[in-house]
Amino acid sequence: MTAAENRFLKEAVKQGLRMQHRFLAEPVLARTGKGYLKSEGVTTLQRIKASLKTSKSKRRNGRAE
Amino acid sequence: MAGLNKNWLRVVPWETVVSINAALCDARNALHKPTSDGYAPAKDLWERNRLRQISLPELLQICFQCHRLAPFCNYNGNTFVTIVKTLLNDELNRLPPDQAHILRSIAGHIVAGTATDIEEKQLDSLLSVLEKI
Repeated sequence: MTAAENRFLKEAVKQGLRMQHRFLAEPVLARTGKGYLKSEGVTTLQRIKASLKTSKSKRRNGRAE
Repeated sequence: MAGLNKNWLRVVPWETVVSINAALCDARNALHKPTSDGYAPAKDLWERNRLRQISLPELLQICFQCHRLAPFCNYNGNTFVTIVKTLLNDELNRLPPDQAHILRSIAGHIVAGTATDIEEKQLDSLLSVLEKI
């Protein structure tokens, strides 16, 4: 395994474990033709947008970030 | 739309796909085992595309098809959604954080088989933004 492949594997496993609670173990898509993924909700996007708004307003007020 | 042609799967040999699934199954004490009908066709589809230049929409379709073929007994969805999201990480750095989050989310929904028509259209517009950066 190359270093890049190894790095990818580590990152992917970390990512996969982080969101594992959103998936079902059984092969739902293969059986029904419709997949399953529990919604993450809008909290993360709201947080990102709020932090973008904060940094924009800090820039407008001339404050260093 | 061509959409970010590159050798997306170069760093993901099939053995890595198997290792990711093994780790995810292990974390939940689920059985990690190849399926009798899905494993060989999914592996074949993966290997045929692994060293090809493919677009991002093609990558999503390949991962969706592999998910649908269900090469493993458990956690097929998480395995292929995880692969796509991890592969996208570098590309997403070029987008504003809110758009990156949306693109990552839509890509995950497409591979998971839960994307809506609206999301498919949104993907096209986000890809055109990404191509201009």
